[in-house]
Amino acid sequence: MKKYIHTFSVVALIFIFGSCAEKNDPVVEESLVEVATGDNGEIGVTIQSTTELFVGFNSLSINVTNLTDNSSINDATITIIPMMHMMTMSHTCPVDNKTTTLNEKGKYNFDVVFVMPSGDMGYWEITFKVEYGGKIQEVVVPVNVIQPEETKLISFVSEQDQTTKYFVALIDPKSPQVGENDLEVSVYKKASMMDWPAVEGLSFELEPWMTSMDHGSPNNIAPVEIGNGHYKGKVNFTMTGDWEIRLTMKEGNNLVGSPVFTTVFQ
Amino acid sequence: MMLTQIILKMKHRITLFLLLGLYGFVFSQDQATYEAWQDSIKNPDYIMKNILYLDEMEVVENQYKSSNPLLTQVRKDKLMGTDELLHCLPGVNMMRRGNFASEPILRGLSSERYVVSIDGMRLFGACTDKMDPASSYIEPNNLANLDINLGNDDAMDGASTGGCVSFNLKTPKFNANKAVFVRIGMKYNSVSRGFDQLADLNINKKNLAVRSSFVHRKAQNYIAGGGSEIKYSQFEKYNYSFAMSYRLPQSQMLSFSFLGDDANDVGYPALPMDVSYAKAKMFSLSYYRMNLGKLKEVEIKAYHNIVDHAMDDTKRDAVDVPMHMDMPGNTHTSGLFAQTYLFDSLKTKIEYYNTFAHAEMTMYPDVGSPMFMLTYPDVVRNSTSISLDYNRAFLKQNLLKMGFRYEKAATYISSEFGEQQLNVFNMSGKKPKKMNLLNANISISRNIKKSFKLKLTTSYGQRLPTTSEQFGFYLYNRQNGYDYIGNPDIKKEGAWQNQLMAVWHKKKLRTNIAVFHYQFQDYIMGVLVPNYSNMTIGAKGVMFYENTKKASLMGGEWSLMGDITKTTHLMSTATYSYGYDFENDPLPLIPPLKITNSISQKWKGFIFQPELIWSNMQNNTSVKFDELNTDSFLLLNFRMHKTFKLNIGEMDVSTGVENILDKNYREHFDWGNIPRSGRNLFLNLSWRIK
Repeated sequence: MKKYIHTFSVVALIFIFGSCAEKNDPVVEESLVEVATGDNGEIGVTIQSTTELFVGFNSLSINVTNLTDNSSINDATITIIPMMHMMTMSHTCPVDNKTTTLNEKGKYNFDVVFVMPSGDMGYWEITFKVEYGGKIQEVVVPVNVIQPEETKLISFVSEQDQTTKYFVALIDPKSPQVGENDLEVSVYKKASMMDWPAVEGLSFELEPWMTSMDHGSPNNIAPVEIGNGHYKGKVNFTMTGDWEIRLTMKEGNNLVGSPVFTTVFQ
Repeated sequence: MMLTQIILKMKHRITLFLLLGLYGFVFSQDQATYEAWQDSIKNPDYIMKNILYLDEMEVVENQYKSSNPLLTQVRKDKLMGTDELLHCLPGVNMMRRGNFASEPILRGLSSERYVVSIDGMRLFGACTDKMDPASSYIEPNNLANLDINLGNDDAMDGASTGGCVSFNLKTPKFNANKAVFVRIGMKYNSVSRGFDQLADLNINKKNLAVRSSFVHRKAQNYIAGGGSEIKYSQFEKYNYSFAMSYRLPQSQMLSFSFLGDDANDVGYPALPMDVSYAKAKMFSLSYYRMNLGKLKEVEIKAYHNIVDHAMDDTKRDAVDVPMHMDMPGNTHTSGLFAQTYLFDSLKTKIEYYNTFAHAEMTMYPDVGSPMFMLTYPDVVRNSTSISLDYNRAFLKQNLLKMGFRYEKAATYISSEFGEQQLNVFNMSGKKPKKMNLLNANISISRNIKKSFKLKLTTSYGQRLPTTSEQFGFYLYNRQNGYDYIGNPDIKKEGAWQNQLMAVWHKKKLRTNIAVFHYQFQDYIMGVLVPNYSNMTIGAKGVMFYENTKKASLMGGEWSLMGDITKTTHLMSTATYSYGYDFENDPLPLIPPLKITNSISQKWKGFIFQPELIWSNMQNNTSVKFDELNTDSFLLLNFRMHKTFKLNIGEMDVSTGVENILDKNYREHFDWGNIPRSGRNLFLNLSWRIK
């Protein structure tokens, strides 16, 4: 009998362990693509991003090259001014960090929120003020900004004063998936054509909504302030399909606005 | 020893002792020819079991032909469905969702709480809405017998808190009276204009035996009492089997068995969807050996089965389908077990099985993108167990039985997508959830007088959560209108059970009373989560499976049966259960008091059987479950039977009317307020060709 038990235990164990293999998904690093270049004869500027530039929150990676010897310039301090040139006027847009130096990844990084697409209305240019070797050089790079398929930036007039224009950019989720997703938004307002400050001290309510079935999802975490006008939370999707990320934005107890982002994923 | 006898004996062990009447209580069976080990297990051990003997075991059949006309009736009705069959048993009710694939309820406990085994094999339904209980893939035509344990006093076939339904399939026989015999049968039911056919082929050689069977059933919508047609209650199914045994020297035998079941276009009026197909394929390979040193009746079996199931809403009226959905699912189960008798009276079984469940749902809105979710997120379960069952006679007529089972199981989800879904609830199922289950039981049977026996059983049982309870994802329960979400961290459920059974036996009358009390711990039930929004359109909310502190179930069964005169046989049963949950609210789906009375009258070769069934109303309903009250009902049936001996074989003819009063009624646990069949006229012919 022992022999049999033994044999069966072995067979059983083979079954058990044989079916326990786990698979690990590889982590894919997002690769950068070149979206625009420009130069002033002395230095060249290359703008890279993960996608085409779009209306919304864009993380730009900048390479600066000394054209005389094609060497990278790594010790510069760079200031940028994005500018929309329209028929009768020009305006800039929110930039999280207007001035920067080289980061640990060997790039100059800027977070720019384009507020409208390039097109018949006007065109975008980014002016780079590159300060290195004791002097400041200016490079103007024209860029093309598209309107993404899914809106990543919502603007509205404040419910409070009915005049101030607010801009809410959806940073995360970039490619939403079923399950738990990071949710990050940044909020700005238009103080003037040239001044688009981040808005701090807001509070949010969050409700993801599946419109085609009229239901939500549980256990979401409404975005809370992490500084610099950014707000972070968690959004849960229980299935694929058309989802709305419904936000309610408040200043104290006062409603500012209710931006809704729609997202579709398979 | 001739293998014919061996095979007969194997089955005798199960059937002979269990056969006398529905309660299988054996008093005076003279089985002296069997060895001592059989004697020790043959008596009141099986006192609580309900065995319905279904087919010829020649030796046995003759003895019982006269003693229990109901059994004869059932036995002759070769085309009675598994549902109808189970329904005959006291303590067993059938939960209906339509006219097909009812789910057995044992003393008010549904399929989560009992084990279903088919010749020791595990089979798991693939439908997230329980449209396909394992019993739906079996036809009685394939059954040698059916063994129902009410309560967990026997854990050989699995760990449960509510009992076990064991289907024992027919095995081909060696050296039967005829080398080849064929049976064909057909049945007509007027209420559903249903027409069934059956064919059996048996080849019985000296060393080779083959059995093959085929059943086809097709029914239209049935008519409820009062005349209203129940739309979407049609079905069609094919069931086919092939079994082959080959015997080897030294009382050894090899067997192969295949059983297939294909149902198509099955309507489920109680659900928002029907079933386009439900298919099961079961394969098994066994080795038997009668004696191996100290081991007796060694059986080793390897098996695999596949269940494939798809729901379908395309046949419904567009207004009733807010959104088209595809909901396929499948399960794959493989297992291996070895069992034997050690020292004649210690039954030992080592078992391993692995089961996989996948179910998904894709919804297609009129506007917008399709929506996809995994409702069974590729759930894998591995289970290894050892069970022991010991029987000992002492002080002449008394018998002691002890059982023990230990099981180690691990369950996890193998789909990344499923894991992401769970993350929504801050839960995870990737790491195996391990559970160790312990089942133990002890029972003592005592002959107080020659005509009076008592049996006391105390048992403790534990069960694994079901796939739905652990990993189901937004499963809509049409019965109460809530979406259910499984709980990966759910704990096993336990139950202490005490049962007392008394049997009086005087002349040809016998009465049994069984009373039971179950005390559940960590009772698994859906608990409303108020702030979750439902997924299903029109659902009332979301329930999450939790271990509630306790639940209790008590009740009993009573029966009286026997011959009043030489030609008149009486059978009465009464069944009652009452249960309450951790907040002392009634448990849902508990059947009310039900009484059946039938008389079988023999006259010139005919058997006439009027039957009266009465069920009380059920007002003791669960508010948590949003349960409806159910009305009382009274049913009257009449059946008759005669066997004609013809030159070319025996022809069994059964006919009768069921629900003569055409009562519009539903049983308390039926889904969706759908009434059951109205008046039905049936005719059943079964011809055993010589």
